[in-house]
Amino acid sequence: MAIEKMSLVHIEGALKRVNKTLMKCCESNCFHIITNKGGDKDGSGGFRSLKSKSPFTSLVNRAKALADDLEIEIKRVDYDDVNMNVTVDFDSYLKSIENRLNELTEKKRGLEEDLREHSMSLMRVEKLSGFDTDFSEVFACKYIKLRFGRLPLDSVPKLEYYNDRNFMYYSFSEENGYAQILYLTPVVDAAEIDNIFASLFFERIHLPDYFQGNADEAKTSMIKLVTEENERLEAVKAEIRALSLEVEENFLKAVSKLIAIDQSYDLRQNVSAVNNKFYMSGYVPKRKLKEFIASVESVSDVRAEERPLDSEPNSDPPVLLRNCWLFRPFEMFVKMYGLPNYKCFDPTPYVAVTYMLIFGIMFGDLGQGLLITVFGIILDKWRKVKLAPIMQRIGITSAIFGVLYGSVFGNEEIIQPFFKIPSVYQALGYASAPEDIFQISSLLLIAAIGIGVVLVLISMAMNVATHIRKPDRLAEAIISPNGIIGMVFYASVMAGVALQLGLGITVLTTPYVLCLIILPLILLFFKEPIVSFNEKFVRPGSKKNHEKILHAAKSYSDAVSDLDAVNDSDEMLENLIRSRFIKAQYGVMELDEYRRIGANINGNYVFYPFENDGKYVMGVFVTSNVEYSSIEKGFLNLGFKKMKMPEHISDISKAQNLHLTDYISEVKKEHKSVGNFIIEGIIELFESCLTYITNTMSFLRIGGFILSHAGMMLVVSVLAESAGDGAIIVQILGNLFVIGMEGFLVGIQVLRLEFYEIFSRFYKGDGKPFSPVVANFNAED
Amino acid sequence: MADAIIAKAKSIYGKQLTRYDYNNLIYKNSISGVVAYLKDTERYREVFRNINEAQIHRGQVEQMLSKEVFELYFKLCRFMSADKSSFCNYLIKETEVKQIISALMYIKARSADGYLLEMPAYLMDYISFDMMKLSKAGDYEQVLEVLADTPYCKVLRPILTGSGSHDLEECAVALYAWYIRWAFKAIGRNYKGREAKELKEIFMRQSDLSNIMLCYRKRSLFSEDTETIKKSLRSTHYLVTPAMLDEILAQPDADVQLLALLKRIYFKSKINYDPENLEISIHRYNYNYYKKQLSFTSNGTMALYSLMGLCEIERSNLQKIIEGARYNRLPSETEQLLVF
Repeated sequence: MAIEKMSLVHIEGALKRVNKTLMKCCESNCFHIITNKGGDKDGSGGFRSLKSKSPFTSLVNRAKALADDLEIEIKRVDYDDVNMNVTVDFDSYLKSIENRLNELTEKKRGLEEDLREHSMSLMRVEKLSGFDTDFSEVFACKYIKLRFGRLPLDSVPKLEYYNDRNFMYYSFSEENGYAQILYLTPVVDAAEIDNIFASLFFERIHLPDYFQGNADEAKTSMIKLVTEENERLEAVKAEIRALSLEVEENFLKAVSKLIAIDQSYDLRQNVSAVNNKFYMSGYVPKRKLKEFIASVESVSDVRAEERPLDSEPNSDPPVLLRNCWLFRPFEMFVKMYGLPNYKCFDPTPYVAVTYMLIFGIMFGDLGQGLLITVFGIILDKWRKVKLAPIMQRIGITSAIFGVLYGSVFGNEEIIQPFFKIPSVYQALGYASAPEDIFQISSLLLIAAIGIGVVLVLISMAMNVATHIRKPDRLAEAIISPNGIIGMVFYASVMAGVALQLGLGITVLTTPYVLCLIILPLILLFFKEPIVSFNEKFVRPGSKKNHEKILHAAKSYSDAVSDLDAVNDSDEMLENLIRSRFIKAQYGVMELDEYRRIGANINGNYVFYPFENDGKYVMGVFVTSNVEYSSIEKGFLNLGFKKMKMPEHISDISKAQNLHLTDYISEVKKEHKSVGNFIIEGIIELFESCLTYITNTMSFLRIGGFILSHAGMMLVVSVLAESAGDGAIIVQILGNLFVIGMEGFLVGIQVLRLEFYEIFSRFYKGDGKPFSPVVANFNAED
Repeated sequence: MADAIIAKAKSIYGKQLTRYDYNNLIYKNSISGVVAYLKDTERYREVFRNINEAQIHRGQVEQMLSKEVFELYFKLCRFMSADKSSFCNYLIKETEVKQIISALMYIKARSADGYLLEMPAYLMDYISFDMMKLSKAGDYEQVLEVLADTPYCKVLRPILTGSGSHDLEECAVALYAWYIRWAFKAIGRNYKGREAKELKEIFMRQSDLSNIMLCYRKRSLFSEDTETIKKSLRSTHYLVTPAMLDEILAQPDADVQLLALLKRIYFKSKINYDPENLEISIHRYNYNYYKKQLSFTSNGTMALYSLMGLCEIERSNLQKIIEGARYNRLPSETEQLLVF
């Protein structure tokens, strides 16, 4: 449906033009670069990744530190007129600002230090409040020692024990478990008294000798000093701010350019280079291809060309959704679940239609629907909330269904509901018009299940449509719970139940049950052997699998083994691929025997060595099913010991994207026991049937919420009637409450139906998002 | 109420220091380092919030840790119902006994203000005698005067006056015997059936462990005779009967047999039993016992008692760590002394 078609673009050019080319890619805002997974090691053919570590990082860090000191917030600005050389000019420019700033910073630091010390002294002198002796006299005492400090409150009562000792103490205040204490003692006894206080955990506070006057006077002078220092500090800060204002414009330009150059190095890691040439690939939306190629090729010595999408086997094209304005906001829900695979279709229109429809049905009210739309418009304009456009759309469907239900802010008397129209209620089998919606509640619930059945069937059909085009996924399209067989079973059961139980038409006859219910179940149970049989004999298109297996084993052998494969010719591979089924066996043999394979074993086979320890060779031989026994005999004669494939080989192959696991699963399939098959088959069948039932029942919530909405509005009406003069206020608050709470709940429930009941039947969110490179910088060759 | 106190106790236990904390603490080489670490733990953040770790003294840290145990105890006691309040004074009574013994020891050692400096002044409002006066007491007569209005006076008078033995060990035995009698009476008043049995069992188990340890020490270290040893023993018992002890003490290798008895009865395979460090081993036994009780009990008082036991062990661990930091003991040596 609406997945943007992508083109694979390959760009190559002179290495010195790489940054400029990257800049063009970024400016185009439509180039999704293919990341280089090989790291910076030399790859095959001498290719290497360009180093991504920027030599300008230290300069950037310096600039950021300077911005911090200058309190300048770094932001991107246009820097076209900045003509600086990265290696020289930036350094000297930053230095010139740093020199001016350092002088002011030193001044500021000194003032802050003084301020810290004097503030501390102020705190100390505040604690001595009430001490009315001049400090200068205290400091001048020759025969008396005074000590200020704090004593734990638990130690204060213990001082009573030392009443007979030669000291006096005074407690100023108590806080945080300590008492602020001053004690005096004659110089001759000072050592003993100090010891006593120390044993009681006295913490002495040393007072600075610049205290003048008594505690209050000292406090006043300290406050004055601290205030003056604060003013001086503010003046220095103002000077720094002035400097900041003076340099801000040019500084931001220079830093923007510096950061842009620095960032360009992050992209360079995705570029390969060899012989002074660079190579990179990426995806561009098809409709922008020409424009993009022209832009890139405007850089001299650079060439760009489109290549087939499958020429990059290790990279899937990214997904960019493209929908019309009506459906576009619902892309958010699809992205929440996961983007579709590039080869699948975009389910956004389906989600949009079903979401709007189900929400409208569940929350049908003309007044409230229009209000939701208005809220949506306000939120969209005011805060750009992503949900707001969705609110605008679902509000309208809610209003449409509100007209059908005849509900305007819960009032069902302004517009006539559909079920009160004579032709409608007569068609539904009612003799007279139902008084309210609750009288047709069972009909509503049945209709909800009906909607569910239709949506589930559509989802299954979408699953069939998605997979039927892929030969390797044909089984999923036909013989799976969500395939044609599953559809036949589900539709037959639902139709049978509806016709027989609902309308009394006898449908569930023996041939109907046998052909349309039991037979599909049997087919689902035997899905695996049927698929296997199909692959082996009916559709020998497993050629593609053979190719994959051989490619995986070959690539793995090339990557890890220093020995050559035996019989690895194009002709042999073609022979093997043409055969109906190939078989592989992993094992070990002596190195000498490995060298004799070619001379001693004849037939269609390839031996791929994986490991070689100098004495033994471990590897796998691949041959056709027909020739397997003779080839195996030949290998056994050379001392080949059969072994189970080690786990680490499949792990490594996975990491290298070699699909060797396909090969392993192929080998394993052959050995599945009958018991396992039966148990797995029964469990899977039971799970499928259970899912059909739960998925269908889940749609009951549609009917449930219609009734719940009507019920809540009924409560609001009753409350409003009993409120007398305040009826309007109750109506307003009630409606807002219902919109807020029920509207929110319905929104979540519909999303739940989309994700669990609908998406699970056909959709896998395994797509990769399209993320164009966006850094904005000027290149320096 | 029981559920509330059990939940509260478990929550406090959950905040206790872990093996990881102890492993970090034993490598601290100064008291300020230990305190700075504790300041960062949830359990001790509030305790040390206002202290200046650069100036703090070891004794002050130890006092603050002891005070914290009591503050926790008072906080939990508020959750106990009024009919259980009598036994819930057990920690205060135990502290009173310890304070009296401590004061008597300082008097005997003629250390004038020794008791004053370690006296927990924060308990002044809870203790039934005047601790300040006790700290000023210069002889046993003055101690008895301070304790005149308390049951301790009646217990100590025969030993400390006139023809009494003036033996502090006898005083300690008599005081602990009084304390256990008091506890049993309080349990009898406040609890019935299984709850009462469980609580009494704690005291009896402690008596067993204390008696075996005393016998072992007195026989192996001081080679005291059986009759002298028997005078120091507690009268209550649980699994280790006086007859069993008599029989063992009569043997020439009594010390070896005492250890074997202890291992057989109390130290099953799960507990790390170290005959070289009998006291630590007994703490380990207590730690496991309290932990088990706290995990499974439905008795609020048992939960309180177990938690206080665990807090006391934690306090003791920290005291050893602080000593280790103060006297530059090797971390591995300190680790051996810890119980967790």
